Amino acid sequence: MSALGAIHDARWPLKIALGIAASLPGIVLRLALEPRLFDHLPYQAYYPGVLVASILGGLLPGVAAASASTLWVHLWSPPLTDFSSGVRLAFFLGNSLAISGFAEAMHRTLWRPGEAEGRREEAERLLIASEKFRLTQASETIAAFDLDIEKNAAKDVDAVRRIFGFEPGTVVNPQAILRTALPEDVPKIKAALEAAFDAAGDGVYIAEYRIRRPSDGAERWIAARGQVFFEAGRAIRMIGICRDVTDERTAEHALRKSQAQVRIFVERAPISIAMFDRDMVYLAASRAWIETYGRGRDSLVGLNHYKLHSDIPDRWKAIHRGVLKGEFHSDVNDHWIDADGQEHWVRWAAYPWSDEVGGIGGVVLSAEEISAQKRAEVALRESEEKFRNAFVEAAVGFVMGEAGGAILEANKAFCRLTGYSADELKSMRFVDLIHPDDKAGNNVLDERLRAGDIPGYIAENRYVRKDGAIIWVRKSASLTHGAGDGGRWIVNLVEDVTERKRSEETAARTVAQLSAILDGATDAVISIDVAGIVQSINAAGERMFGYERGEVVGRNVRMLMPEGDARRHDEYIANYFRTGVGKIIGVGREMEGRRKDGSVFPIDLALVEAVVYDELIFIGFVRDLSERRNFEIRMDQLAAQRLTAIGGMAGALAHELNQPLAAAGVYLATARRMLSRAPDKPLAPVEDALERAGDQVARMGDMIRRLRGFVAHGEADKTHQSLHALIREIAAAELPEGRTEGLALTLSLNAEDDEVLMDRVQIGQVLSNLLRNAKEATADSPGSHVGVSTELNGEGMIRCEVSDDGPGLADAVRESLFEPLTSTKATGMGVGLSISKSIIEAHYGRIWGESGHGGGTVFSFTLPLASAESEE
Amino acid sequence: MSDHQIVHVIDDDDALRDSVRLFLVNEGLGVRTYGSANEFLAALDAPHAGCVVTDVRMPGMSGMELLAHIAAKGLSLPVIVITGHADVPLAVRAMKQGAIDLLEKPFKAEELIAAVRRGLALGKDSHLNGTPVEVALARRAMLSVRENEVLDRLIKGQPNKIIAYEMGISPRTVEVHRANVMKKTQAGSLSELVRMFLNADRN
Repeated sequence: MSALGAIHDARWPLKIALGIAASLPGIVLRLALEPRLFDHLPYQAYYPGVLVASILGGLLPGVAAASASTLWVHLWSPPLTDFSSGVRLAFFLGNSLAISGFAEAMHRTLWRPGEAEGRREEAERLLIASEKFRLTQASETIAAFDLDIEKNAAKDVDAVRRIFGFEPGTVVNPQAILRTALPEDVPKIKAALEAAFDAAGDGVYIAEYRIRRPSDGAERWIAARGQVFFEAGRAIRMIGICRDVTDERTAEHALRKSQAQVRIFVERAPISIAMFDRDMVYLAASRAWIETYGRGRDSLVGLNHYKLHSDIPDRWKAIHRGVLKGEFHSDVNDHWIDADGQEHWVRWAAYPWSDEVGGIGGVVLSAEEISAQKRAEVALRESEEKFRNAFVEAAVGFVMGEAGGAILEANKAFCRLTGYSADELKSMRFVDLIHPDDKAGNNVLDERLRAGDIPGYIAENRYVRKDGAIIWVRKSASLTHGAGDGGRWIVNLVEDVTERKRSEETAARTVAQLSAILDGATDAVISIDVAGIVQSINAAGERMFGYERGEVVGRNVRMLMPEGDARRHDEYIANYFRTGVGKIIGVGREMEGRRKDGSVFPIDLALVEAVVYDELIFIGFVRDLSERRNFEIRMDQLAAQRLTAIGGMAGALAHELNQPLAAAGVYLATARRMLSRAPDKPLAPVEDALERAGDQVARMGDMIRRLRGFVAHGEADKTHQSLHALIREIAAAELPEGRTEGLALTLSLNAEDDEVLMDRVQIGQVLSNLLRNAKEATADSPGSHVGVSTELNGEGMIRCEVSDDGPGLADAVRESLFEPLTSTKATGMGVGLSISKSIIEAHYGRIWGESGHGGGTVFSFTLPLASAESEE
Repeated sequence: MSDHQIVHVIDDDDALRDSVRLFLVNEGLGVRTYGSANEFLAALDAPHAGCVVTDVRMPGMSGMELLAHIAAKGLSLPVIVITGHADVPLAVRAMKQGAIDLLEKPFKAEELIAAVRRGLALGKDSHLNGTPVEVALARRAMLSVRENEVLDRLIKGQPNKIIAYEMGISPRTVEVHRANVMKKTQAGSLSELVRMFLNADRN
């Protein structure tokens, strides 16, 4: 007998056993497939029926149990009565497998024949729920429950019990839950349950409530979700999960608390911050906010921001709306003008804050008034602008560059200086501008600057301009540091000193020229300071005194003077300062100088004082008079020779003249004598004429004698004589009475003593000379007068004055009256007065001429009285 | 007459020679003129007395040389020297050489005739020219020591400077002494002074 047949034929208990045994493979398979089929709720629901059906189907062929899930699908199978039991069993099993597989495939491909839409969805939901269920089972805070509503008891509630803190064995049902719930949440739960159980609804159960855990009395938040399944209008089952969301809620609570704290924080924040609800009503505002934007109020809570500030720009309102959608906005540099016309610069941020349920509760605005800052920034920028302008526009060239040498910035003046534009300069290096010859020296300085050896330096060197011209510049270079470690820059302040250099050069050249002139001068030029220290001496000075410059400069000028003068020199200087009167300032003066070899020589010194840069110096111009002295001596000699020659000539002339004179005299005498012896004397007039002729000859002789006496260097024949007697004699001879018309002679010989030691002939010559001069001076004047007077001068001398009232002496003439070979007379030999001077001086007297009181001329001479002469 | 005293006039200047001759002839004297000293010496007769009037500066033998010659020959011929240029040394030398007088041209004719007459009178006794010795000595005694010394030097013909240097005194002092000597001795001129004391010295 086959298995099937056996089953057929077997007794009912045996058939059952066989059926069960035949179902075993199905059970095993089902168990094996279950994990994969978990989310298919319909399967879950129908499982027991399926199982039953499968058994039945196995036992009673022809009974089909179909399901949309992955089931064993048993199709009606033809009775296999004809086959053996074994065959029939095998066939049964194979059929089951195939059908099940086929059903699975069908299910998976969404073709669910015979299934209603709603059911499918429900099944779907069930499937999903069962998946979740499975997942949450893994979590400790999540418990799934399966509530049989009819029975009012849930299955698989270990986890629920754990969460709720139920005693093991406690029945889990809504009542149990309600018992643990906090009183104030009970209504909420009940309402949720009612809503869920309502067959007209969607059966969704959502509730969040607090419980007090029976196990430890702790307050816990529970969140429950469930899905109610209905059958024939009745809720039959709810599957759901519940979670212990205490931590979440605590967080939320904390968040809500922290929101309160935020409020406090907002109110107390040192910044301007305010919290608004969704309608922009103030919930909180910080002190700073209230002060700035509060418009004088103490509190803004409850006020509408837009009402408070009617002038809020629309763009900001748009931003608020965006924030309410969850956007974050900020602006670091916004600008608005309030109703009072006050300008504000604002840095603000606007962001949403979340409420307890995770929605956007409103807007938080934080605003930082940066007007002051802005103004400061503006001021800074302005000052930077000014500085920048100053930098750019400065009259002095500024150039900044990296420490490495590349130029970063240059101002206009620098550009003008160098001829390059700012842009060109920025691509250049400092060193590119410097003249090749100056580069080396400049590099040395720059190195030291970079190394930090020197904080800065000032140097003068040459730049080569863009156009190739070379200019001199004076450069101040320094190193500056950026903020913190922000790098180092070299800053140069540059001035064009070409002009100064040129004038320095000119000055130097001028100095060189002056030095050349000084050194080329033939006179010595020596300058000294107020202490007498030699400041400079020229080449002529070196030659004249025999020193080298270095031996003299810096030492006292005394070294150039003979002893006596040297000692007196300091006195002279002191005296000059004291009295302001310089003995030799400006005036040339003959002094003596001392050469290096000690020899003393005559010098002519002219001294000039000068103020040079506020210092007083004396400049002396020294002429060596040795030559001049020699020259003068020579001239004197020549003059003397000339005079000697004249004397000789005069002597020779006199000698020659004497001969005929003598002869003439003798002839005349003879003639006279002859006549006197003649018997008759009819020729008395002849006699008279002859006598007079004889007188004239004698007079001529006297003149010649005197002339010879004038120029002869022979000794004077001094004897005791009466000056008055001589005066009378000479006066009678020169100005004979009755012989000169219109000329009056007055003799006032008042000296008490007139005995002098004199050469009668010579002094007679002097008197003749003076009287003749007086006579000639008055020649052209009408009614003229000549006077001769004598008187004692009280010093053992007798003074004789010969005066006339002629035109007088011209100043220029007076100087040289007694010089030989000068004459005011057209026919004068010019020796008269000079010889008179020699004669008088040889007699130890003085002779001089001056203008008389009331016009005219007075010549005076003095002679020592014989009584005043002392014997040795 | 053999005693006729002749005046010999020697001068190289024709006019002067002629004028003197004319003058002396008019005074009744015999005159012979010579153009030079040599001419005179050549024409000289020993026994003739008279006197000589001679110039000093002449070509050939000068007047001073003639004097020396006459003195050397021991001729008793008084000589009057006329000169265009007279100074003390010349006067002293002339006196020492035996001249009895020295006249400076242009001289007064009266001076000349007086000197000639004196010379002719002296003749052999030319040496007796001058002041008597006693008088000279007496006058000398009135001088101080210094003045005496100065006198001696003056007579020697020393110029003042030399006298001063040798006596160790200043020239001015010499002048003072000299003036005093002249005053005290009443000498009219240096030549007179010389004449005065030269004879005294000689004697």
